[in-house]
Amino acid sequence: MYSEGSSLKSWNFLVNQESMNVWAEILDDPNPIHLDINSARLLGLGEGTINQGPANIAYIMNMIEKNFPGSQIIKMNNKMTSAILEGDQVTVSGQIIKIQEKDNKSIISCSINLKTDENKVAVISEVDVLVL
Amino acid sequence: MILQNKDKKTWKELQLNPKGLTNDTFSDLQFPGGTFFIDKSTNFLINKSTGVLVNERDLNKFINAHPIFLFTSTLRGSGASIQDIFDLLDYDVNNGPMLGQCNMSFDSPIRIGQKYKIDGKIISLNEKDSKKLGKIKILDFILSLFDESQSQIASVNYVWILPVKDF
Repeated sequence: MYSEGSSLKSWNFLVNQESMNVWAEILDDPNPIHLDINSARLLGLGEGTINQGPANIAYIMNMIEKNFPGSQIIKMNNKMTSAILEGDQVTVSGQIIKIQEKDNKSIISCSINLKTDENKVAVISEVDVLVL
Repeated sequence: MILQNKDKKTWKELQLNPKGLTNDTFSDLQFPGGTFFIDKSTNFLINKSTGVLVNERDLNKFINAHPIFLFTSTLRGSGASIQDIFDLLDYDVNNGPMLGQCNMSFDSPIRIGQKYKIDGKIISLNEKDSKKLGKIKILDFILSLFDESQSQIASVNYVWILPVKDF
């Protein structure tokens, strides 16, 4: 059913300010770059508020769940390479790198990227997923 | 000079006067520690705000929380808020701190309706020159989630990039 080298189903999301407001509250994060466009602009980060890092990681987790329903992430290394701005349409895509079988379970290692619609890579992830 | 353990001040002690502390002061500094309860309404908000449509009527069917709760629970339950961390480092949040890396490991799923204990420490605070951002500080710290039987459920290593105007 799963095979090494195969592509994963991609996952999309339109980043919006309402979601960033929710995340600022959930994290109790005072960083103004998530809430105030002028703050992001003054710091040279772009022409929009900056999406919270954990939200970007959550998109990747959602893509994992879509591809491996009911699975469990056991390891996830994320490198943030670029900012995601309010209004960006993001796409999570990736492929299966390795599959290890053990005790009727599979540990599937994936290489995953989160990109904007301008093909800018914002997060690079290596994920190990336990599939029963 | 790195202080000996017996001379190391605690988070709470350092918090009383965080001005002028050297970067070495923060190496191996334990977070105050605390607890975090995983509630279903926040789980619903996390799913909704990241594009997962969940019918509110189905909320009670969920057993496992969204795995990004590792992020929210450790940062909300470490005994120090994000602002507290910046205050301790005497760092101005208006400089635009960013998440650089985040490495997570899960021994078990995070469950809704459970209270977890959070412990961790700062590994290091270092300074460097970045081509892109100019002078930055790099904060490396680890926080772990434990259940009521003290078993580790998950752990996360954060690397935050802190742009600074002057050292």
